[in-house]
Amino acid sequence: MIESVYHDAVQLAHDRVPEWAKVRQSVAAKALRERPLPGRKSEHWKYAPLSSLPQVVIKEAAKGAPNARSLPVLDGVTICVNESGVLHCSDALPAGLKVRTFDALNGAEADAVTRLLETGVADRSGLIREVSNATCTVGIFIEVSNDAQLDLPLTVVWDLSNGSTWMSSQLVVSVGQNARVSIVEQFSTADAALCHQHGLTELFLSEGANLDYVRLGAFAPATYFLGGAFARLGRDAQLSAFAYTQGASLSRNEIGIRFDAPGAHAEVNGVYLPRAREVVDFHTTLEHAAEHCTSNETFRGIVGDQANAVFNGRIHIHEGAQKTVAQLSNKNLLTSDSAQVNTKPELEIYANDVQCAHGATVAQLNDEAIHYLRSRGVSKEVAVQLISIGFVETLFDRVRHEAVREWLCQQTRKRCDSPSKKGVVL
Amino acid sequence: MLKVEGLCASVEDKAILKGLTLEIGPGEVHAIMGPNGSGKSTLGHVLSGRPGYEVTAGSALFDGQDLFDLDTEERAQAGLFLAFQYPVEIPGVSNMEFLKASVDAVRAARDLEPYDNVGFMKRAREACTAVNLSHDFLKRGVNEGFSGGEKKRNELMQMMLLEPKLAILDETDSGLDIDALQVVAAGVNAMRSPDRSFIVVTHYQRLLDYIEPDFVHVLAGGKIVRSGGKELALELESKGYAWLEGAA
Repeated sequence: MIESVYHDAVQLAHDRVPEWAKVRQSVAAKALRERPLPGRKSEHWKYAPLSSLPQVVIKEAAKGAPNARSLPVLDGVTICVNESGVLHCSDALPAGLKVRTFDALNGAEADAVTRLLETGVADRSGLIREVSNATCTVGIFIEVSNDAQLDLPLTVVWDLSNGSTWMSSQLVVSVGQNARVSIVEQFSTADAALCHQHGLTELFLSEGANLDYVRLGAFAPATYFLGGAFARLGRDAQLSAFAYTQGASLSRNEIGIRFDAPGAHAEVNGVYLPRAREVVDFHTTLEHAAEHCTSNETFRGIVGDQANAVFNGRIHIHEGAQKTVAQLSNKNLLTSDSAQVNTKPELEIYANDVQCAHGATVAQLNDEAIHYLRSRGVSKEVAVQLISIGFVETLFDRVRHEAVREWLCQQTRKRCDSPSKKGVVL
Repeated sequence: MLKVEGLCASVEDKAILKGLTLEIGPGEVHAIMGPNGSGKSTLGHVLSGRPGYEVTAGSALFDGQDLFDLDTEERAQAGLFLAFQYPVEIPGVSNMEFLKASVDAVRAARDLEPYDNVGFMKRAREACTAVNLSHDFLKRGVNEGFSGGEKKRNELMQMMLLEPKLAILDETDSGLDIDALQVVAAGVNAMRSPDRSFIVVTHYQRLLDYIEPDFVHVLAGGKIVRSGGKELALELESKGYAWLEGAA
């Protein structure tokens, strides 16, 4: 049972969770007790099963300074949170933005967050949300007022302290009508010891809201990360999302977007570059439940060494969601003979007047292209880097923040040097 | 400059070059002509170090250095340039980025300072203009979606920026219209200098009207079967290759 993995974490949450969340926590804890650990026979966990997920053993380091992070630093307000709560907030919050930790919510706010959490888009197997509700000990609620136009991004960093082994967080964002905001969420672990991180993000976009959301993970090698970002889009809402994760033994991210009302648009992009024995798993679901909505989703990955990448992208067009335009593409580059990609785009369409395209490819580095570059004096390492960066850069270009784009290019250069250096952990 | 002796090479165990000997002095332009399948392109590939082309005998000295001791990129850094018959498309890598990386690598190998971005940009634009390509081509992916003629002109632009000691043009004229042919020829002629040599591989005498060779060689059956001055090309044009095949 998966409960055995999270037993201590559930106990910890039971002791720490604020009053208003107690019922939710205990309902989830009860459900978790019934749930088996999903293995290869479980459809949604087939290629990255949790059968050997190590048990969460909780150790908490004494409170200290935040880790020196390898993640990009952006302009605007940064809120750093570790397993025991908010460490610091870099600046005063601009007008129109309200940020509360879960334990500081007043009655009305707690009711609002409870309501929002109850209506979040379902994850594929229900496990991600259940584990989160049963174990979350740190949560943040962000409210963006109607019509607020926030130019600088808000960065939320979930940073597991050195010496600690467990963190389970929830971020709930409510973007008011016609408001525009940019949120960069970062997850990180730095300690080489075995640790777990769980991060659930719920995004709610009201009518005409515009959210630019970036989700980055940079983990130490013995990290097991599970989590997801889920969004509900109101009428004419616009969501632009980008996801990237690296370094963990296992990183499973689910992205779920539901188009609730006409005219909404979502741009969803992601990149993964697993190396060594890393396992990266992205499951995405676009629920087109209203007419005249559009979505454009592209994920690209470069998989090396003995790494394993899983991509499952599902587009579900509900009955009545006429005039939907949905596109999904997943392209992969394998740079080693022992690397693996399992990709599966899925379409389920119940409306008859829609445009829907999907495609997935898996290819190897083109030897002719490498030779061509080398024949112009470029070393093999640089040739491989140029081709690799070229393969994913078009997606980096869609990220608005220069600091993030630069960081992504750096990571690509580091991770994609020579394919001949097999087994090197970067 | 380049001294090739008794060169034998094979592709997938099939012998293509069978004892090719060729010597090229500084500043000379050599044209290599010959029927299809005689090994013309193979010679360029072997000299540039393309994987899959195996040297089974013979030697090639480039400026006194054993060419076959060098990796592909080291050959380019030493000053060898091959204009590909079929340039490769590399989506996602911009032409500018690629050119800068190449020129930086070649200059670094010659202990020269890299150009700064502004200076390089200027040179790249000039080279673009010289081969009659719009500056937009610098921003596009390497050869990505270029027409045949644009690819060939892109090869020439690279040659101009890399300033090689020896350039091998592998059927750079094939697939070009007359205007493009003249652009290519003018580019090559502008690069001619007493210390830069060219090997011009071609099927047609036409190119040699614009790029005047010092020597013409006929490659047939993996060997040079006949060498001469530029008049040999005219002779070939009227008689074809059949009368020489016996010599192979």
